[in-house]
Amino acid sequence: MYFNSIAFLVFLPLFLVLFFGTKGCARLVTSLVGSYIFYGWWDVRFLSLIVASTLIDYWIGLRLGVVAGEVGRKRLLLASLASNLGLLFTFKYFNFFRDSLVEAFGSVGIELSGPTLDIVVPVGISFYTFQTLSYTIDVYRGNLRPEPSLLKFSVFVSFFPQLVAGPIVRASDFLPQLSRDHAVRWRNIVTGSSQVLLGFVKKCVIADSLAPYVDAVFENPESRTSITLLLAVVFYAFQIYCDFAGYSDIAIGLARVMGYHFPRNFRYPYFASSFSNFWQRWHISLSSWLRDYLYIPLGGNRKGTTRTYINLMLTMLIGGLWHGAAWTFVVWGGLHGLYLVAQRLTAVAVQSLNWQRISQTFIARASSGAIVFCLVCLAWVFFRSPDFGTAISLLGKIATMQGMSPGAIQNQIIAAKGIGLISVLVIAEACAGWIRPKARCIVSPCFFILYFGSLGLALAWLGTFDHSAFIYFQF
Amino acid sequence: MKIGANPRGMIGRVGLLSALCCCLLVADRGFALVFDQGTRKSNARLPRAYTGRIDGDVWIIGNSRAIKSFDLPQIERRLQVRVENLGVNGIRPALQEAFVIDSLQLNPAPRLVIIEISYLKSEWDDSLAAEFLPYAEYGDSTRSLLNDRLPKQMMAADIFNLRRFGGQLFL
Repeated sequence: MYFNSIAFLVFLPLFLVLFFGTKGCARLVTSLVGSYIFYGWWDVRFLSLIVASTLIDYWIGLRLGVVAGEVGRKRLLLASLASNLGLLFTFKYFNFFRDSLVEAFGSVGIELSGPTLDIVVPVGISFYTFQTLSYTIDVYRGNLRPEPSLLKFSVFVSFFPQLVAGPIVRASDFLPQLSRDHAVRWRNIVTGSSQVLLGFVKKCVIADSLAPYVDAVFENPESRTSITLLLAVVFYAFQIYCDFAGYSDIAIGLARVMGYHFPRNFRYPYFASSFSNFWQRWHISLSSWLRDYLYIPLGGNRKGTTRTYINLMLTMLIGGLWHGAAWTFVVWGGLHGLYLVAQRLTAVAVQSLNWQRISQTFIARASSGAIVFCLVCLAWVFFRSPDFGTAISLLGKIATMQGMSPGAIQNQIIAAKGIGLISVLVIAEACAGWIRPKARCIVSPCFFILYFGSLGLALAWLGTFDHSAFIYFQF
Repeated sequence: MKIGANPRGMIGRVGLLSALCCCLLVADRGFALVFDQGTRKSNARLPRAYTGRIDGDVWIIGNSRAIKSFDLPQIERRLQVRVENLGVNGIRPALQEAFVIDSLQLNPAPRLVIIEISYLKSEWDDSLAAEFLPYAEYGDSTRSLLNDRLPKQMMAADIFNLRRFGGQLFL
């Protein structure tokens, strides 16, 4: 079920009535059944996977609480890793690795053949797999007590607002919240709804308005002028941001309406002044997951400079592969790994030249921010392109700089609409940093009417409601 | 504070939501009225056709081929007539028919209509038809066609009038 579908518009009020009309165990049952209906709406068969993943990690969590020996605990952890990553590998990566192997051996003249799996990747598998993995690892490390209630654990894994595209919520954040019954509170409803509405505006107004332009250009980059290609790349940067941040806002807002508090997933990422700062602002739940469960266990920055760079590259390459089973995603992750390494090298150079004061000036930070944005856009080209050929051809055409005058922009009406929407977004986000309204302000009548009224009008005027899927659903 | 704990607070909140709905509807109608006035005064071919401001002796009808294939100044100079090109990029037959019927009813009749028909086999396109939402109030044929083919969008446009003015052709 998509958030931007009629089915969800019917589902949500019914769910909320039942949710707030029940207490304790009944409320958890409502949450679980609602979440399974939400998820099973795509394909009932997907439910078997999430149930299997839930049962395995629940059992392993309980066993980890009982088994004291290190060997036994390690075996349990390995069992969890094998089952979760095995599911992920089978459904998402098997065909990719099989095709890559066949192609690699074929290039040296060895003919290989093997089975291909005729399966659809279950929606959101990467998200809930990481969520359950984090639970088991935390229990194994002793940072979290095993959850004794299967019902509560099942709700933690499958809670519908964040099930299919995050944010990846940690068990230590969410499980304690499931132990309390949250009353219907006006403040939660207002703040949650305001975030939901903002999410819909980002998705239905901005992302879906930019999508036709981006799709048309990436489908046929050869026939486009350089400035059109450049514009499409920038549009894609904002399309994917608004699409994903929009989903996160809706998820966090819905949870808030129900009384749960989820952490922020985006914090104005295109205002980042460095690449590490970008990853502290973009898909925060994934980047912190990769930091805590991959980068730091690999040794982080504690094992020397070279090892730090290797760890950074590995983390980003795996992060890239997490997004999709294609080499373009690996290149995207690799580019971000290189950016992070280059940033560390630059920091060392700045320190050795004693330029720290200059690097902290507004001009230096703004220039750094502009460079970060341009290089992030460069990486998005690989992320969006269906194959390397398209990405290289697109970048090559931009590099020729043929047709760079504003008059050479193709499909000027949609381009102008896109530029207008992006400008409004950038100005709004820049202002939001300075005049971030307090919760008290949001429930004041004037602000309430102004905020909800203007976003509602934007949605009514320019919203696209063709049930287009969220980009991150495919990951 | 819990909802329902304080009846006066409850009434205040219902009032606030009502005020929001009223403001939303008033703003929607207000902006839609402004855009509608803009449509009435626009000199683009569709607004002129739907507001009775076409007075050409010859009309050229069709899609982008009609727009680009005829040399209007040449025709006007040689035949000493005023020519109006009413071609619409990507238009489909059913929509074209509704547009021409409405244009004939709303404007002085032309002496000649030239129809470029290379698009006759092209299929209906919802997104292009939605571009005609701003003109649904002006022409009966257009309105009934859109009611028939895009009932949900027409209903949404009746609730929120601003929805009519979000298309490319209007923007």
